Amino acid sequence: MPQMNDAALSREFLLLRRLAGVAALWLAIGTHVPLAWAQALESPVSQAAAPVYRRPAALLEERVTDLLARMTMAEKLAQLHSGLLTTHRTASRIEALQRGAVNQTRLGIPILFFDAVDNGFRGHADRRVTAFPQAIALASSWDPGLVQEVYGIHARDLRARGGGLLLGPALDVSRDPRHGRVELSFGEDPYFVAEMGVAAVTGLQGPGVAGSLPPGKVLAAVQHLAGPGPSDEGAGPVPVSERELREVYLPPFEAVVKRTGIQAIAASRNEIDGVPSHASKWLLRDILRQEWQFGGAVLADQGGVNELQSLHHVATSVADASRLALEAGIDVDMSDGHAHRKLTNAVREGRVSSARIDEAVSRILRLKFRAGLFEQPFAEHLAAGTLHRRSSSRTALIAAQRSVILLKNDGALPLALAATGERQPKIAVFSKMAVMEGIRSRVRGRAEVAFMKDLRVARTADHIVVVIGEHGQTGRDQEQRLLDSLRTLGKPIVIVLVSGRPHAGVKIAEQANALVAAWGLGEQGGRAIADVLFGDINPGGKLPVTLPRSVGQSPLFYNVKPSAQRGYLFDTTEALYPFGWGLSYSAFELSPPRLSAASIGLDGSVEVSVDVRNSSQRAGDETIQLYIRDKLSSVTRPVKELKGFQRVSLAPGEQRSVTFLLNSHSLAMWDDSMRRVVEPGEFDIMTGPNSIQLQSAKLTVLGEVQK
Amino acid sequence: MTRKVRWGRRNAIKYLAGLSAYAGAALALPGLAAVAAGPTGEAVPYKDASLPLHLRVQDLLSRMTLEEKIAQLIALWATKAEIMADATSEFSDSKTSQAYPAGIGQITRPSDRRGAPVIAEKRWRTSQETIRFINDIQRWAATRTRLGIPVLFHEEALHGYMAPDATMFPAAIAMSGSFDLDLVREVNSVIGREMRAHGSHLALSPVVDIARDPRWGRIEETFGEDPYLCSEMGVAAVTGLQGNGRTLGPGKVFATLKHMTGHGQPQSGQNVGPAPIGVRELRENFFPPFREVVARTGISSVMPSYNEIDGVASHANKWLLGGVLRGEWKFDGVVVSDYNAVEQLHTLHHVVADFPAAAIKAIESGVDGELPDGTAFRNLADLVRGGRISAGLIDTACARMLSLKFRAGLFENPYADIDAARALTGNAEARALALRAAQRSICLLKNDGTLPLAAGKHRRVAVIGPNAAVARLGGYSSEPKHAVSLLEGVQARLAGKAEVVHVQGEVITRSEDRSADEVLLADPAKNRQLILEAVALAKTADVILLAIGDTEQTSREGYAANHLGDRTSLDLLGEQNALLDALHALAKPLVVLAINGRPPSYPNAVAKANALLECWYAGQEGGTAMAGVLFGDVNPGAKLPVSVARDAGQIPLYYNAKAAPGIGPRAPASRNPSPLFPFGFGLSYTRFEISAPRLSAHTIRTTGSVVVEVDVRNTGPRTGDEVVQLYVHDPVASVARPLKQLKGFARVTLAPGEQRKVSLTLDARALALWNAEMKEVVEPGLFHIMVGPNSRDLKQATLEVI
Repeated sequence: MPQMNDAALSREFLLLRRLAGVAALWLAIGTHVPLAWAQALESPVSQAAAPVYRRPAALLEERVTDLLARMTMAEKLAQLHSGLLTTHRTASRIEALQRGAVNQTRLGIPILFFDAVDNGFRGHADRRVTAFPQAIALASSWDPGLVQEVYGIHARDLRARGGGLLLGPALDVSRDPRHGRVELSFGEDPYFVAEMGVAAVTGLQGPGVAGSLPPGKVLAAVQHLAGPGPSDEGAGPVPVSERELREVYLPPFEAVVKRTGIQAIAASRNEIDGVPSHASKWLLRDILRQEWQFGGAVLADQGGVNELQSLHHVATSVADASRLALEAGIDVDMSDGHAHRKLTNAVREGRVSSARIDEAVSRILRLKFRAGLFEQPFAEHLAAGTLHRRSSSRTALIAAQRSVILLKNDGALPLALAATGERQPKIAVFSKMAVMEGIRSRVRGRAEVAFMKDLRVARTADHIVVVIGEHGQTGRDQEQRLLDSLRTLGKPIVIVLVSGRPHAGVKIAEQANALVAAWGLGEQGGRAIADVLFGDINPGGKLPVTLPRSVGQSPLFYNVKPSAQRGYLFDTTEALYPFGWGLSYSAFELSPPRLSAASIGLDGSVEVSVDVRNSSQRAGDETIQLYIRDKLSSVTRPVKELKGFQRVSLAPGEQRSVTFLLNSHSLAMWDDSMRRVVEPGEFDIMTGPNSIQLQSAKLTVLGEVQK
Repeated sequence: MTRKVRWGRRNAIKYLAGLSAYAGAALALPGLAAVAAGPTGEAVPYKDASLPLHLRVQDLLSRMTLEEKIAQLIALWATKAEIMADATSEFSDSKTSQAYPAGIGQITRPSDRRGAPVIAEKRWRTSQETIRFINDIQRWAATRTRLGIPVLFHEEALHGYMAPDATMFPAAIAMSGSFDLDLVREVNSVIGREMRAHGSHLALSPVVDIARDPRWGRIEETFGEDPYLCSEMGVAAVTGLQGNGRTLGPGKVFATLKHMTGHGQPQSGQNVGPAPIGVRELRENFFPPFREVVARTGISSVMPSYNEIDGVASHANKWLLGGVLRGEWKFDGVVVSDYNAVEQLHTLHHVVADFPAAAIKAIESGVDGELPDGTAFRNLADLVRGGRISAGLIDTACARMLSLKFRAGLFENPYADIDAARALTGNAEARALALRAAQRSICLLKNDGTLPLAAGKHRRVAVIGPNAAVARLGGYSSEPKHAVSLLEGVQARLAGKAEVVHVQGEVITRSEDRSADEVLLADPAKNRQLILEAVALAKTADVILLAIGDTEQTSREGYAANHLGDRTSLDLLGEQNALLDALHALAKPLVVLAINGRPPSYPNAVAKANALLECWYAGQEGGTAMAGVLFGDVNPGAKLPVSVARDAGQIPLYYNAKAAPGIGPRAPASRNPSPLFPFGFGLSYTRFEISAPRLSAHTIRTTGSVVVEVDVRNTGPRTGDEVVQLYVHDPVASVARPLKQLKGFARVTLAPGEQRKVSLTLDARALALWNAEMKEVVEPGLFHIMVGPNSRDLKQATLEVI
């Protein structure tokens, strides 16, 4: 065993003992502990008499049934509270723990180690892994293929560290930038979040919808069912109604359940109309399992079980919270099992059925079998330490480049560099960190780059680049003062927003000659931004959220119902920049949409084609977006809904035809009896480069209204 | 017909006896006698006031043609043009008989001249014109229609009968802040009698929306954010307007509960915006005022809201109007549409293809009458004939409208009398009540000891500000006989005692025309000039009274895309903060009077004023009341019926929220979740001590009740009022519960040193919740019973429910 200090050793020992079900066993039936412990440790599984659950060739369900039948209640409970552990440990300790679980417990059930995707693991990380753009930045690429690739690397990195499950991606639909951590979401649109979610899960787990994980893949656990956005502290109450939930917040989860092999879903910590998700049978059983036929495991969010007692006060004690959560459908408590460890008494007193325990344990075992842990419980390639740094970094760079959004440009960008022999332009840069580095290493003697410590530097500069948001909210006043004084110089100002949240203000947008939104771009962010500023990369990102002009417009999102946005006195309902917005150094011409059929049946589908032409002298990317509006419906429908998008790269002068398929799923809605139907009638089919500059065609859906 | 057989001799005698009882009226109003009998001369049951209501309705209905029935379901507003003589605003018998041979159900706002030729500066009919117009129409209906069905006239009456000369009381949000139910009842009683004296019988009031967004311009029309307070205020207002019982007594009018529901939390603060509110949230917060009023009064009428709830517009919401309102609550009155809301099913919500389909959808969902013009419902006859809607639905709606007319006594006497109206309207008693209402609605939010001012102590008193010299009455008001501004109130109060000087110092909007669609803020440069003037004047004064806030233009009902009323910023508009800063810099005593219909989210004013009075739109006697409060004749005792946010970023902010990580006790200090002023907050010139609550029993059953006693003592030097507030909290429940909920209050007046025991009865019903199965239950367990002077400073006892 690797070296450990005493305290760590005893902690690990306790954990192992918990995992063996021994401590619980002692409490439950009063067995003499040393004896049981010794037996557990001294009976490593004999390979010769390999039981069914140890046979890789056996069917998954046979293995689960076999193993479950061998488990004591204490061992089962141990799986519920300690069957999954975080990878927030050193690699050697992860390995030691796994070795203990595999070799030193009676049944040798391996631990499933998990981690959360949080800014490319940067929070707790191992320096060897790659830091990718945050979710909101990746979303800005409007490139599901890229998202899939990045999550593929997440999977490989996690697998290499002994992890088998990744908590993520977050499928929360974020409609309010005040809420939680928007940067960890894919934005405000249900369809868009669903597409990105499917891509991310596919990247993590590999393609396909069933079976075991291929090498280098991990299980995904999408989160948080269901709430308004990721948050550090857990979300506030969400008193939303059922149709709103079904139309806005649930679709990404449903899409992932139906289109990928997702095996785990984490519940949200918020309550919905008085019922916390961790205690919601309706959400976790009626919808998730019955309507969507989800067969995997439902995980608690960190603290989500405890909070049934401590925050929502729907449970009298932690033990009660644990019982409630289990009954509602939470299978595993992820907080190192603090709450689910209290289940023992509830089981003894018959307040939790053993059938429900078996059900939950089976789901955890299934995860472990699917992850291949019984065959390969240890980190892949750990010894070799091959994390493919170079290729990962390249992907991180491409991801960062494709995520940058050009919000405004009056021609100030791209910045020109001197050709040989020319006078070097002077660029004053206000940035302490990565962007400065990126610019410095990019110009290489073709421009003079000066750090702008005061206005004097700016006075003599040809170009001014100001990075906003490196210091979070605290630095904003200082940054604004700097901008105000720079503005008096009358020189073109390029502003780069690097805050993780959509925090552009009206004033900044007005003061900028060019405005670049770069979110949190990960380790290659500085270089990617420099590439965009100097035109090596033609920006093609688009906003996955609406940027409001002021907090007083909140919530501001594009897919509103027709009765929203009557208007304000002395202000506008217009966004600072709308959903889907993003410019390019190129110019594109988009044709109106052409439909393959002017009318279709209720179950029919239609192809929508758009010609897009790069009418400029530069190669560049455009993302063609497809929106629909159901013009007359039994319940109100949004004024537009995204139903398709494609990012295409076009050489100067190149024209291409882009085709979308709209089917009955795209046109469906939840009618006045809460059935999902397509209602006959007219639909506006709208295409364009963002959510406001749209051209329209009319589609008629023929059929009878379902009674 | 079987009915004829049942119509026996006894009834006929009764009928004739009843007829002679109002023979006097008939003589005074020629024509009535002619219709005392049916068209063929025989006595008709529906005209017999002694018969049970349902028989009269049944009888009348059986005599009506389809067109006559549909006529009852519509109203005339712009279409009043069709019943007025050309180029006048006078009623025309011949035109009306031509246009409405089947009769007229309802007339919208008879006191306004809508439909008549536009005359600048003349929007209203005079009292006399209104009464003549109404009597002419009633006389026509009685004599020139086949069945003589009287017409129902409705008017706005939110804080006064909205017609010239009528008394204008403080805005609803102000009245709610009085926490004085008797006062609200009395005020509504006067509103009702002034309106009734003018011949109208249906008031479109009160508004019992739960207001949760101060950006929303209609917040002034509400009783605030709390379901219990809105319920109690709603019951008081309805009782005041209608009286007790189901029929109208003299001087009473029917009330209309508005707007069911979700209107008060419109998405993004924009009027009529969607309300995607969950069922439990609806039941626990938005329904209670409607439900309580239906249960406890004879409420005649309910108006659905413009907005949609979870995709379903309220005028198309069968569950809301049928299942809940009529089914669960047993409401048996009429559901009248909000203005143009039936049309909006087509034009705004796009859930129907045209107006005829809108009419079908609305009537099928439970809407009985379409206001203001019946644009969609006018298609109903064709729709019935075309088989697109069943005649039975028309009968049901018509029966309800007729029932209302019978209950109103309209068949017995539909007429108004100008002399009676003159004597009553805006009389001394009404004025005194308006003054008392204003006095009891003014809320002291900050006081460093500057208030009360001693009259005469400050020799030169500067009254400054955009709202100083104008009596702001708020939306839904007309032109009362007189109105007192702050300046006039102070001048009168200080006459002979001190010099009162005034400059405006600021202009908020370029125009004061509240009906104007476009609202333009005043020129900032001009305002800066006015501020200099104000500073120059204030320098010479000993105390500054600064009246700031909103105008009827800057926060109002945004009833159309070209007539907006909602805002993104809650702070003072224009250069008002600059004016305040400039005056503050003079280091003279600065008393700020907020005159507005929106909660005072004015952090700068709060920080800089020595004292801050929230006066709201205080009604026609507001200036006198403000002066009374400033100079200590009146000790302010109102409380805030809303939480006051620091800025728009805090919205939604309401005290009865559920626990969230951001607002619980563990919230990080960096995120200030606390309001600028909490719900229920308000100061006094005296001080009070409130004891911890004592319970008459520590344990009650789920069907029981407990008396909560608390001692209140005036420990200060002045007589004053305290509002003792009772809140409950369910610490463990099957569904998440609010941190606290108001469940009782009492406003008491105490002399210096006086102590009084306040007893509040708490029914276990007040502890009920809607459980996971959406059943209303009282769950056994412990409850925190909290008492105090506002929603923040509370003392607690524990009650066990078994």
